[in-house]
Order: sequence, then structure tokens, then C-alpha cells
Amino acid sequence: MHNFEFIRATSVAEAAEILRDDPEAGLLSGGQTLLPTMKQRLAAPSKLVSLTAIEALKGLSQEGDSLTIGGATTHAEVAERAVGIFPGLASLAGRIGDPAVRNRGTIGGSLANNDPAACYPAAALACGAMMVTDRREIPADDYFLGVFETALQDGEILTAVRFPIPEAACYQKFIQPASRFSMVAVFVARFADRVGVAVTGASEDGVFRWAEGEAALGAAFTPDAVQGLSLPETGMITDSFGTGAFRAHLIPVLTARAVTSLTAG
Amino acid sequence: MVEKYGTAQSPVDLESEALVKGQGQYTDDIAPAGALHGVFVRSTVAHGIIRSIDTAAAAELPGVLGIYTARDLADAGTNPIMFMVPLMSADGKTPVPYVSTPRPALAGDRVRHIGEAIALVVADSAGAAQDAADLVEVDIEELTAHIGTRLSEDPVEDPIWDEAPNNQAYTWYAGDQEAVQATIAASPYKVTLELNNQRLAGSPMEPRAATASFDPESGRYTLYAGSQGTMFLRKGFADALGVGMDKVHVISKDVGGGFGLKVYVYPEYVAISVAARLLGQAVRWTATRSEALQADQGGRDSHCTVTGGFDADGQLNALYCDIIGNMGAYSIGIGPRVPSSVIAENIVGPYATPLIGIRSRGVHSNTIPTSPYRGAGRPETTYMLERLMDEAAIQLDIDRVELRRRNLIDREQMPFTNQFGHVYDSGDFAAVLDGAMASSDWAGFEARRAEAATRGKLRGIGCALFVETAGAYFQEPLDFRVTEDGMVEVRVVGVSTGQRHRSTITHIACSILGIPLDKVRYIAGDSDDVPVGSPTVGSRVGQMTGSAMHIAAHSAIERGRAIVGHLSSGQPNDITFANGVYTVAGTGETMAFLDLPRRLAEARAEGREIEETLDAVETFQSPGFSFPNGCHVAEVEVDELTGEMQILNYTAVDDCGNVINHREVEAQLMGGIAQGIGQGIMEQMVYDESGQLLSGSFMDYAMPRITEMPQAMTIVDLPDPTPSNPLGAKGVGESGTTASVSTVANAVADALRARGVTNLQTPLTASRLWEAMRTASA
Repeated sequence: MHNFEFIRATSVAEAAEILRDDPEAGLLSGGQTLLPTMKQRLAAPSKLVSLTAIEALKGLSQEGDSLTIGGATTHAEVAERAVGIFPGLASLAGRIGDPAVRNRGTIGGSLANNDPAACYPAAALACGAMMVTDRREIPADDYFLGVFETALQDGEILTAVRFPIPEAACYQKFIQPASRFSMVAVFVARFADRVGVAVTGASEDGVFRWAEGEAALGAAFTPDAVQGLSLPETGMITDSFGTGAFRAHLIPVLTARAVTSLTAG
Repeated sequence: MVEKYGTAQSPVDLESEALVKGQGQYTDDIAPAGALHGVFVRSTVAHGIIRSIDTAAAAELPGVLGIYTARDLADAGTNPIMFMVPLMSADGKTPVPYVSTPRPALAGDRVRHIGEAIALVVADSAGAAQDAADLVEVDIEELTAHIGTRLSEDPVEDPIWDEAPNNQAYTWYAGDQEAVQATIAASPYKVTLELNNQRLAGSPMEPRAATASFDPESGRYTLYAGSQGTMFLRKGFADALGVGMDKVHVISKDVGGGFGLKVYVYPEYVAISVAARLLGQAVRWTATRSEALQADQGGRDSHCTVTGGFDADGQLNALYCDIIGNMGAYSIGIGPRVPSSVIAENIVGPYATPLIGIRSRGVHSNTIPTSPYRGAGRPETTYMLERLMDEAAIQLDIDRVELRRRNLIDREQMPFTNQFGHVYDSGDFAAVLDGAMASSDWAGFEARRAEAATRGKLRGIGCALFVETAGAYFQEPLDFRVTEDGMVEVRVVGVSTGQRHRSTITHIACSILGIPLDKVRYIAGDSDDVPVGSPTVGSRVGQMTGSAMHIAAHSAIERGRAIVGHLSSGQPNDITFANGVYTVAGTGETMAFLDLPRRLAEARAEGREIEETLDAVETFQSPGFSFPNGCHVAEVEVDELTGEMQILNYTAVDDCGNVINHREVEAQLMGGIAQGIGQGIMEQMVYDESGQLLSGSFMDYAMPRITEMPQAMTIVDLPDPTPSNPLGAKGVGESGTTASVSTVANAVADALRARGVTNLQTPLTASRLWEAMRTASA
């Protein structure tokens, strides 16, 4: 790891100012991606501005049928506190990494990093969540631009994410056996007027909405509705853990599993 | 007299508590204060010519004390590291030629694999050394990289060694090739399988680490480095430094896993030792996990075509194995022996096959050198035999267990001299097969398969029988002493890398001597302080060092009897020994074994001349290998939609001879089985065609975890003791790995057979299983 200056910001404004003054400075939330990257000397920010002491960035709040989660809220907190509000999201958070990762890693960090195999982007995209920054609000559909790419501008800080709470939701994750990230994972969110299906891990372009699956489940929320559908393997990731064809195949299978678990009993 | 270690004593564990509490002394823990830090600049190119190395910018960083390249090492008189153990013909009589591959400690004019060390930066902190290493600029002209375990008949572009225009390292034969081929051709059934044993990374929990220093007055190098026993390492280290064995001192303290990759000298140890000499200060280095994956010797990596000629009644008439072994860039350690002579030592297995032939060819590639990894040829051999048996059973339409049974060597045939001259002195292969069938409820399986089908699961069951060699290097010394403060001191060579040797050897000593466990000091791992023997390899320490301990303890009791004779009024044959105490018949006088050195010293101080001592170096000489054997059964379920696989039950019935400590046997088997499962279902070193390592971290190299382990594991000891050593013990360190790769693969193949799947290669990932089902149904 290269040397850097560590600053624990106490307000979003302070963090934003440091970023404005020093283009080489970086934001640190839970550090579960950034710190390993720095240890491998693949990232070398001049300053690290920690967000985790900013109280305004932490915690969950429910207003009507929406749930707002502060950017610096840990996965463990979401797993524990969203259970009664948005159980599908709590379950997703409770299966990220291991306890050490969940106690440090944050939702804002995950969404700002947009790892193509990360879990939260699938939930945000399937639900049509609103990304709240220190400058504006960005709908999820406009936010995820590709692998490790988001609509965030230089120095823009993701302060919160606001989820519309679905009637029911389920996250089905097929893990990559080495990293235990998702090799393919599907988040299915059923709302009164629509169904959202978003897929992470599979595509060379990062997280995406499976429109055909959404339409089919919108018409009939049953496993059979998606079972017979197929996706092209073009553009799907091929690596030593699975071919593009396998990943494409898993998407309807996992979607059907999600629907089964939401409709069983 | 055979002590009943396994039954008469509760499990002995003198070591684990300290290690799990962080009180161990691993190499990185014991680096002296003030030791300088070394960081290596490694090749990012798989094959190329080094045009220049620019260290100027790096040298100017504060804290940097030295930067070393191949030229500095040459000026210091070092030699390349050479392949150590000659490759011999199958009869052991004639050396077999192989390509000489001198391996520099730091690459000079050529790099031959990703991760090969090119320069060493030494600084007063690890951070400074790393910062400087980043500034070293290496200009490499790329050559064609050679990746993969395949052999070209024609010369290739940019061969790795000029001596080998098609990268072929050696050719090695065993058995009567023509007779085998003719018999196979004449057999009514000819069954052929192509099997790949993919490259694995040993990945011990403790990465390699070393601290080197040099004493100018004595001219001696001292190296602290984790090893499986310092003796082979010491030899290669001295040779590479260009000094005599008396000028190197190698010390291994606690070692967190070896699996075969901590036996020989590594380039890093040589480079930091030269730096320590030139700088006059100790230099330390600890590998990162990324470095371990790039620079620890690799495991497995061979491709086999196995062919059996069978009679219609299932008799295997002849077996032929055609093997290509990937040596990596250099032949190191016993690398070329793994896919050749080790195969021949093990290929007979439990079967009375009349004719066996082997052709083994080594190929060099632009990858890390390969050498033993737990099992080292044994799992590969079992894999050939046991996959073949299952395939033959299908083709001949004979039940696969019955087919094996018809080919077994009978217990009545012991001692059985096999085709390659090894003598099975014991082993009841039908009994272990029967035991495994019973313990696994093999007979009741079809009902379980039918039930699983109702849940969309393809259930399969598979077995593997094996007989393997254990106890390589047939001689082992042990230095036995008793001190005047009443402590037994035992000096041995084989370092524990997690096997709890101290517990096992102490247990044997105390059982014989009748003394408490805390009266033994166990000393291993210091090359100045232990006798010359062999390291912890080839499942040998229990039977070899354990037997030496047995002999040493019994002979000490006899010497003690003579001493008591001098010190008392009794004659030796009037003196009995029990529970650590001698009793003189008639007078009833008693003397404790542990008191004898003190009493001797007192007697000598009074002027008495007594020559006897309790101390002696005893050597156990074994007549040959022991042959651990067993039968393992696995039961798996595969999801027919996704290829996800779960190992439900795993049963191991093993004959490792007399059991010294069942808990230790169980631990060895479970660990070995876990590693075999890793190879079977997930582990895989992956290089792309340009030689870049794609599995360069644990994000991409799939280490098995508890979630992949069988839901239930049953381990049964079924000993048929060997007469080849006084303990009656066979090895057990590798048995689990030897059996489990085949066992799991056969179970998965059985599960998918209903779907028409015939060709399966490890690792059996979900994607591969799904692709196999899809291809078969297409």
C-alpha cells in the first residue's frame, strides 16, 4: 500500500470540499473493495476521506412505502434492521461476503463502486431505487452505466438510496466458488403495478434489467412464466467458473426460483 | 511387543492449543529486530529475453540499501538451482536423460514464467522496499509463450530450452510396451479414457517466508525458513550458494502447511542470503498470497490416456498409461519423477493385472515449476485405475463393484511381489471393499436415488479402491538422549507442518518408557541439531520416525538395565522394568529411568567408571514401502437444472496398519479428502495462452471451504498391520487425497450417466456438469 493521508470527515460538505480541492483524493466508506485494491498497489489516492463518521449518512428510515438507507450504512445493519420493512433486501445484505465484510462494507460503497458481481446494484435496479447524492437524485435506470461505471461525477458523493418497498422480493444468488461474489444473481421485486427483475454477475456490461422476464412476470407471476424463456449468451461473461451460455441459462432458472420462493405456500 | 497406542491411551495433542492461540513461532514471527526487508521484482511476462534492468530510480529512494540482479548473484559466486533427484529407469538401475534446466535465483537473460524473480530490493522497511521495487524498470522482449499440458511432435517456435526443440523434458518407459499393446489388442474389450489432472496451487495457510543472515567470522549462512524438514533444503541451499554443507545452517520452527511445496530450496532464499552477506545485516522476506500463487511450486498438471484390455468376464489383462507431465519452466525437486516413477510405484493398485506398461513424457511450459503436491502421483494413478474400472463396467455391462472384485489381489497371495518389484506384505483389499460397501449402505442406494429424482436431483454413488506407497527414503535416524534433569530429548528430521508429529512421537516414547508426556523434549527443524535424515514427505514420519522412536526407547531401556546393574547390587537379568521404573529382584531396590543420568553423574563424580549411557542415535531401516490401502465411497446429488453439486455422504474405510492415534488418522484422512475434493470439484490454476495467470488470487483460485465438504463423513480403521516396521503402521498422510479425487468423480459420473454423460474432467464445476448434460442430450 502506498502512503496516503487519512481524514475522517464529519459532514458531507467537508468531504466534498476535500475532493474538490484535491483531484487525487478518494472517498472511503467500508473499504471492502478499495482497501484490498490499495494493498495490491492498484490504487494510490493521495488522501482518503472516510465517510463512516458522518451520522447523516447512516441508518434506515421508512416513510410510507419507501425506505431510505444512508450511504454509509453497513450491510450488517441493513440485514438486521430491514427485516421487518423490506425482507428481500435484508436477506440480500445478510448474504454479502462474510461477517467481517458485512460489518464494514456499506451500501453506498457498493453502489458507488458498481462491481459487476456486486449484490446491491441488482436490488436497486429491480426496484427502481433513487440514488441520492450531495448534488441531485438519479433514478437507478440512469445510474448504472457499465462495469464499475456509474452516473456519479467526479467528487459527487452518494449520500443515500431510496427504495420503493415492493410487496414481495427475493434475491437468488449463484455464487462464484472462489470469491463468493455472485456468478449470476437475480433480484425479483413485485410491486402492485409491475415486476422488476435485475441481474448481476452475468453480463460483460454489468448489472441489467431483464425486460422480457419483467414483462412475463408482470403478466403472470408464476415460475412457469419465465421457465421457458431464454437469453442470448452473447455479451455474457465467460471465465473458468462458467461459460456465457451457462450464465445465460441460469438467469431464468434463478428468476423462477425467486418466484417459487415468493409464491410457495 | 506392539504397544496398543490407539486403544490404551486417550488422544494426545501437545501442540494445537498454542498454535490456535497465536503462540506459535512461524518464520515471520521470529525475524530478528532490525532485519532488513526484501521485496522481489517479478516477471510480468511469461517468456522473454531481458533486455535491460534499470534500478537507478529505485536506488535513490530513502531507506533503500541494495538492489540485486542476476549479475550481483553471479559475482557473489552463486550457482543456479539444479534438479536434485535423478530420474531413474523403472528398474531403478539406469539414469534416464532429461533436459538440464539450471534455475537462476534471479533471472538474468531470460524469463520463463510469470512471477519469476528478476531483482531483489532491500530496504529498511517493507514499505520502502515495495516503493522502490515499483520503480525498477525491466525491459523484456517477449517470446512465444508455451502453455498447456500437450506435446508437439515438431519443433516449436521459441523453445524454452535450446536442448529441447519441442519442449520435451524427458521420455520414460516402464513395463514391456510391446507385450502390453499386443495383449490389449487381443483382448475382446478395449476401454480407453483421457483424463486430465489440472494444475493446482498448494496454498499452505502460512505463505513461504525466510530470514537470512551471514556470519563473516565463521563464513556461515543462517536461514530461517518454513520447511518439511531442513535436510533437502539445506543441500540445495548450500549448492546454490556455492559453499559446503557445513557453511549453512537452516532452521524451521512452526510451519503452517507444506503439502510438498516446502521441501526444496527456492530462489528467494538464495537471493536474500547473498544480500544479507553483502549488506552485513539480516534480510527477511514473506510472500504475499499473490506471490505464493505466482512462485510456489505447482501441483499435479498431467494428462493421461489410459487403456485397459479386458476379457468378457471382466478380467483386466493389460493396462497401458500414456502420460504427459507438465514440468513448468524448470525441472525442480522430484518434479519429473511424479508423472513417471511414482506412477509405476502405484499403478498396480489392488488389482492382479498381469501386464502393465507406462510411457511418460515431460513437457516444459512457461509456468511455475511443478513438484509434489499431497499424493504426488498417487491420486493421479488411482484416478486412472478407478475411472477406468467404472468405464469398463459400463462397457462390459458388469456391476462396477463386482468387476473390481474379480480383479482384486487376494489376501492369501501376500506377500505379493507386484510387476514393478514392490512387495505387498499385507492388505486385505476385499475386506476394505466389503467394509466400505457396508458402511455406506451401498446396497440401499437405488432407493435413495429414486427419492432424489422426485426432487429434481440426480443422485449418484461412486467408489474408489486404492493401494499406495508410503514411507519413501527407507532409512530414518532418531537421536535419543536423557538429560541429568530427567528429561528425554528426541531429535528428529521431519518437521510438522500440521501433523502434530511431536504428539505422535512423544506418545510412542511415553507409552514404551512409562513416563509422563511432559518429560519429553521434542527437537526438530534445526539442521545443526538433528541427525541427517529425510523430511516430512511421502506419508513417512509416523512409520519411519515412529519406528525409530520405538527402537530407540526399547534399546534405551536395555542400556538402562545395564546401568542399573552397575549402580545396584543386581545383575541385569534380575532387573525388571515397568512404568518407567527398574526393580532389582531380591532386594526390591528401585530406580526411575529418568533418574539414571543424574545417578550416573553422581557415581562418576565418586570415581566410578561406568561407560554406559542411555543416549544413542538409532536408525530405523525399512525393507521398502508400506502400502496403505482402502476403499472410499461418496454419494452426491446434482441439480439437473443448474449442475450444482453437493456431496452428501463420504465413507472412508482405510487400512493404514496399526493405528497409533485414531484422532490423528482421522484428521489426516479428513484433510486429505478435503484436498482431493478441492481438485475434484473446484481448484484450478488457469493461465491464458500468453502465460498470464488468471487465478492469481483467492478471488479466482477456488479454495474449498466447509460448505463444499460432505454433509456426513464416516471414517473407519480396518488395520492389517505391516510386518515391515515394529509399529505395524502404514502411512496415512496422503491416503485421503489419493482416494477422494476418484471417489467424487466416479460418484458424479454415476449421477450424470442417466443423462448420457460419458466424458467428465475435473474440476467438476456446475458449469461443466451443466454443459456435459446439455451436450449429451443434444
